[in-house]
Amino acid sequence: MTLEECYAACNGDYLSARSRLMGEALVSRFLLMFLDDTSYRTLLEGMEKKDVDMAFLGAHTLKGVCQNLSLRGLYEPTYQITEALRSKDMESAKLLLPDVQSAYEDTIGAIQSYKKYIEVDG
Amino acid sequence: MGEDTTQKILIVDDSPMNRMILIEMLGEDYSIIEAEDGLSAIEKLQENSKIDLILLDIMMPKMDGFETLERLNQLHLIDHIPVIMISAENSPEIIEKAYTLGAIDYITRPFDVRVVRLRVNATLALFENQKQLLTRLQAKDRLEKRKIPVKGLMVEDEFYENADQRLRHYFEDNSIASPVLIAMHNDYFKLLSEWSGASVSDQYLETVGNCLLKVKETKNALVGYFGLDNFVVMMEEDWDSIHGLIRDIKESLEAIRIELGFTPAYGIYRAIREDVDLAPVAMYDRALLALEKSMNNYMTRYAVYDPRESVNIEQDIKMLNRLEYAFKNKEFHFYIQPKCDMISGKIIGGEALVRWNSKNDGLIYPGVFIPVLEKNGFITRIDTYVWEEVCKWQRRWMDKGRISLPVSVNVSLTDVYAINVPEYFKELIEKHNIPANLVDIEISESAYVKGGNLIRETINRLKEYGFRVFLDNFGSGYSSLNLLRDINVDVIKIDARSLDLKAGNSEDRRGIGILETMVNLAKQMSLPVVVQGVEEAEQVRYLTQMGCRYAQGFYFFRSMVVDEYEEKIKVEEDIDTKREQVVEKDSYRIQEFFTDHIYNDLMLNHLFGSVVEMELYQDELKILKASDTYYLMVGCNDRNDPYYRVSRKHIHPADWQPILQSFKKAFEQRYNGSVIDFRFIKKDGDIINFHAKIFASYAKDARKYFYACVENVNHYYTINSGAAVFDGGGNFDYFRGLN
Repeated sequence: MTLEECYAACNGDYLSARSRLMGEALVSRFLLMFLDDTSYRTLLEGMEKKDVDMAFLGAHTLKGVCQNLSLRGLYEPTYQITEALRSKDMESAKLLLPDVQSAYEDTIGAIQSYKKYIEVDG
Repeated sequence: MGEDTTQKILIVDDSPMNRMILIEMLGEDYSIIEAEDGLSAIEKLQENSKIDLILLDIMMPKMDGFETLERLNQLHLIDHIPVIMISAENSPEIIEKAYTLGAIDYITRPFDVRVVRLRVNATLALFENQKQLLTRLQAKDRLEKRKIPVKGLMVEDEFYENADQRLRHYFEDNSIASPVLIAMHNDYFKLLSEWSGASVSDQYLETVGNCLLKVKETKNALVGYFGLDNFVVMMEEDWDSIHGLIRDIKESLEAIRIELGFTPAYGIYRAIREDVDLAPVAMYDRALLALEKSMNNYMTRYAVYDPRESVNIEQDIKMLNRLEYAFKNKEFHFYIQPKCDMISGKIIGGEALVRWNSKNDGLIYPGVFIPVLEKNGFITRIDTYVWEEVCKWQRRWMDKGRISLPVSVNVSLTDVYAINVPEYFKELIEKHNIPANLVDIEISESAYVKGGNLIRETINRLKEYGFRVFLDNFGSGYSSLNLLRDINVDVIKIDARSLDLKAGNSEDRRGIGILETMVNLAKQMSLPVVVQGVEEAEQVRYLTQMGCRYAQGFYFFRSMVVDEYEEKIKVEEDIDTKREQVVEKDSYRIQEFFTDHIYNDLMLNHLFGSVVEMELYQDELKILKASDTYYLMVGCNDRNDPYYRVSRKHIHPADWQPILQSFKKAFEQRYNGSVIDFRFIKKDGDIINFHAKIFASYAKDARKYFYACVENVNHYYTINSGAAVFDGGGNFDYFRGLN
């Protein structure tokens, strides 16, 4: 899966990322870094512990990362949950979480495929 | 910036991913220190004194960005370090809070590599400048603690302490007249010492210092010296004395042959009773703000601080938000103002000017938004946008198979600090495949004065790439051969507005004199001149007589949208593809005529007839001086005879009003003067018909001074016909005086 295909698979905006980051190289590097990003885990942990502040911080950071990488597919639900958590609305956040989870899995899945592709092709 | 002095940036963000992104963007040019929260940021700052810039995330666990900012302020850790806030939040309240807490800029996610680099570069460059200035001032101050130009001037601490006392008296006692604080300084001073040597600049400081001591003595003023050429005065608000001081400094500097452009500019702050909480330091800052305004005006050397124009952060933020929005919505456009050949009337090119056409507020003038833009590096985004739009348009015009004319664009000092301007232009013309000679680059004299070597290098590189460089606003501060020798430009632009060359302006003659000097300097350097701000027919007349050929201004064309400009230049006969040329001398200028040839008095009399110098005061005209031929002509044997000294006696009463009118006209049309015919009554009762050309010389208080060439025209008049007034253009406008 090429970089462009990877973006298509997770409903990201490839052109915007490439233009802002001035070329493929940075987009690719940041995308791979995203695999190690901990903000998603912070969000889940906060939700589990019913710690609104922690969940909010995780969601907020995740949202920022999505924005920087133009990962629109994941950005949308993350944005929703961030706003719910900002107003300390745990109930709505719980309802929104599955959307975030499924978008996150799509995104990570696509990035994994991309990673394999470049590792094989060098 | 040298090799081993890489600037350090502290990135404070809890997300490693976000830190990595910024490091990728900035790591090549700067050395980066990371902190994952506010506390560790404080530690890093405490152990590392040499951090140049902080990028601070707002949303962080434990201590958020705002709290961190407050703590850093309390600890005085960021007194001299700029902080840029970063966040995905773009609500005005949050942005406002950031600015209120002292952030210098605000970058929102998602990051654009160019924007991040640009804003970081611009902020660092601006601070670098300030830091250098500060260290220079401090170093100089330390060095020169003993070296105050003249004894009796106070240094900063002492001055402020005394000023504070005076202000307190003023606030407590309603009968005390309000004081003013006057800051004086001239950016060009450093050129004076560079070019003329330390002894001249020492003499300068001593002279100004002595003038201040006089007001200390006579007006009980507080006078101080803050290093370099920064002087300060606090005195009672008495405008006669203030003007007197300014005049005294000017004249004293002239007396030691220091040119007008080096005389200080003045910023005046008027204390009011509401200022009770305002420290003298803050008043000095405000006086400096006013000073900045007067710096670039040759004619008015002082400006008074106007609180309405003060930097209002709240408004700035609102404006900034609107600008961001406007930029995204493509509300900025470029207009073109044609430049033309005044003699043929043909267009030779244009200047691209930015206009903000707001969907909500209509056309907003650059004066409103440019100052806000310049403060935060945003200006470069607009500038580069205009540069590219101009290149695109030139390409489209070429593609239509039309003849191309150059369009000039403006480059500011902020641009030069923020990006590599020559490379940027080179890439632009390569990208759009247009020749470099279709994009001219205008850089202002003040940018050159403030930017020094960096500007010089930029100009040289641009020229290397084939661009023509215009020195914009030449003479706005200091005009001299030195400046032109020092800077390698192709064309000089002079702004007529900065010389107040309006008809009827009492400073007119001085303005014209300065203009003429500048035009001559340019000629000596073989540099073509474009005069901008040409607004009146009268200006065109004397500009062409002076040997100026090219003009820009609404007398010829106003700035217009691109479509309209295209209409103007699509007809081949209306344009001239020759670039600005130096005007060759093809006629003698009168002064040269006299220096190159030796004329005797008789020949001069033949040329001019009789010359008379007069004073008009309260309806009475006195002859001050006249040539021999004049006395001969009127049949006067005794020059002290009051009959010949006071005109009321020897001018026909019916011609008196027309004569007064013609004197008035001479003041209105200072360059062309006025012409009048009148009757002179000789002592023996005979009448001579005179034809006179009258020119205004100057006015002092209620007295006006004139000179005139007078000629006997009896042979034209067979009968007594009354007076006739001509306007300067030679139209006969008869005032038949006989009823």
